[in-house]
Amino acid sequence: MNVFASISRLYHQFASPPYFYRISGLWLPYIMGLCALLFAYGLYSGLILAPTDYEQGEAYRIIFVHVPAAWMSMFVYMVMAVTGMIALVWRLKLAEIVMINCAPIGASFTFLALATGSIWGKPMWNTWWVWDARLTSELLLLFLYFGVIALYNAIEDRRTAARAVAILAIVGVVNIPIIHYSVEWWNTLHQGPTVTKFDKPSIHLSMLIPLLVMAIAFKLFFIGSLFMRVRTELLKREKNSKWATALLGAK
Amino acid sequence: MDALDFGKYNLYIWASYGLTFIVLLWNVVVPLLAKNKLIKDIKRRNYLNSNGSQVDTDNMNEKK
Amino acid sequence: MFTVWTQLFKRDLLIAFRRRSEIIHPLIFFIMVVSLFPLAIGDDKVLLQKIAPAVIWVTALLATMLSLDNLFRSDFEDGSLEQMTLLQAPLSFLITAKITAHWIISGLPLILITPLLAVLLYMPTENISTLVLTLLLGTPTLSLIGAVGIALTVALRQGGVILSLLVLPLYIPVLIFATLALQNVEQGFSAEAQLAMMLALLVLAMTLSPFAIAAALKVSLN
Repeated sequence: MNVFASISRLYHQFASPPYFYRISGLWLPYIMGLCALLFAYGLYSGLILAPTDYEQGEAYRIIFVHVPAAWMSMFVYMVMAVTGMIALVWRLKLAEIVMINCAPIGASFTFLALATGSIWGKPMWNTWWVWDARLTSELLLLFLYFGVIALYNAIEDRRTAARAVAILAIVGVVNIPIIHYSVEWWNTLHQGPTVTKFDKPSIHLSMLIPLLVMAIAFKLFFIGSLFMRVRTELLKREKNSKWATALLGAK
Repeated sequence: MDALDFGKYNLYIWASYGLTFIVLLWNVVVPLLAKNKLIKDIKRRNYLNSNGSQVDTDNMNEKK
Repeated sequence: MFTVWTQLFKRDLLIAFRRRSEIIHPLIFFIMVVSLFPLAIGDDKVLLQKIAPAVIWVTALLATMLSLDNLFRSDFEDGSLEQMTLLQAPLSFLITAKITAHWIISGLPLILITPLLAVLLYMPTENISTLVLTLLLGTPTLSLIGAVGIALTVALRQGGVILSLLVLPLYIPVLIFATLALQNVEQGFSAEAQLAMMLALLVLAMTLSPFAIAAALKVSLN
């Protein structure tokens, strides 16, 4: 019983706006600082340290931004769907705010994945766009993000909007593996002769390390940007409450 | 800066990294601007409220 | 519980047969848009034959989307939807009655007219049975997935535009498997695998979407 009581206390504490505001505020500079350091190291090791690729020459270096962006686009959608589920089941305002603020960040990462994938495609396949499995799935993911943002903006009451979007996000998350699988099946029948280097099972350590460093940097960046947006929205919604007026009075 | 010269791929690599930078910048600037706007709005509202009407027009049409 | 289901089912069919336009309009849309393609391309038998499955499927998709508005709109506006949530039977169960009726009204006519349109597009007769089969498996799935979308948007002013944005990405796997099946048959192979996938998607939609639709309706009725 004691364990449950302390977990329940922790859970209630964490979900309370002033607590989240304070803690996220404390963590934010460290998150962004570490993120900047990792980006710096990732860029250095990716652009300068990593050797030239045997097949693709220098152009492969685009993967150090393209792949993390693509990973993040999926990861952010998962976060959005999970917080949506939490918001739907427990009606937590904080979960609703976190969920909806994932959408623009995730959409921008998806756009980045598509754009860098397209830019990579030009020297590789001599075309700005290829209907390959990954790019097509990413495009559909972008549409899913747009749907979430459009639906949220179309409903006036923010709490109703959050509930509707949570349902949509959950339906979307169930569909993402289906979309990926179907697009891959579709693509293997139409695939051209080229296979991207990244499909090969082994990747040299000197290329793997910058990739992972950039991936972590992107993740930290996502958390930092998310915190910034959520904090502002919390202030906006709770501006009449005691904790907010005390905080704002000091400004 | 020879290490940063990628030959014929220069444009593509710098375009990709440039786009990345722009997307990251956007994700920092938009929240910052929103926060500044909010603080400005609250200050203005406090000023208006203390000098005139008692009506809180910001939250009038919202359902809790 | 089952009597309520049957009553709801019969009611929806009755309403639709009284308002024939609900049945006719999507059908006419389907026929007309499919006819646009030969008009736009010219009487190029080879090309038309090649794109026939894609044209018919995409148009069926769009026609289904157009017909979705009939599913909940009138019940939403006159309050019957709210009454349904108050019944003892679970809303997710009752919804299947409405969707079944809706499919009979809008999906089935499309399937029945398809062989005629396939002939108009020079589709080889051996492949038409597969086409009908893909539509038979696919249109109920489209109705079920679309119902989620229309449940989310029925209370909105510009719901129609947002509906397409929400629903089209979710439709794409169905489209992909259907057209893959038809391409296989075109090349002389068996389409069993793709048809099995379509059946799987249908079963998945049948089991999961009623809950999503019910949840979405409760949000919209707020």
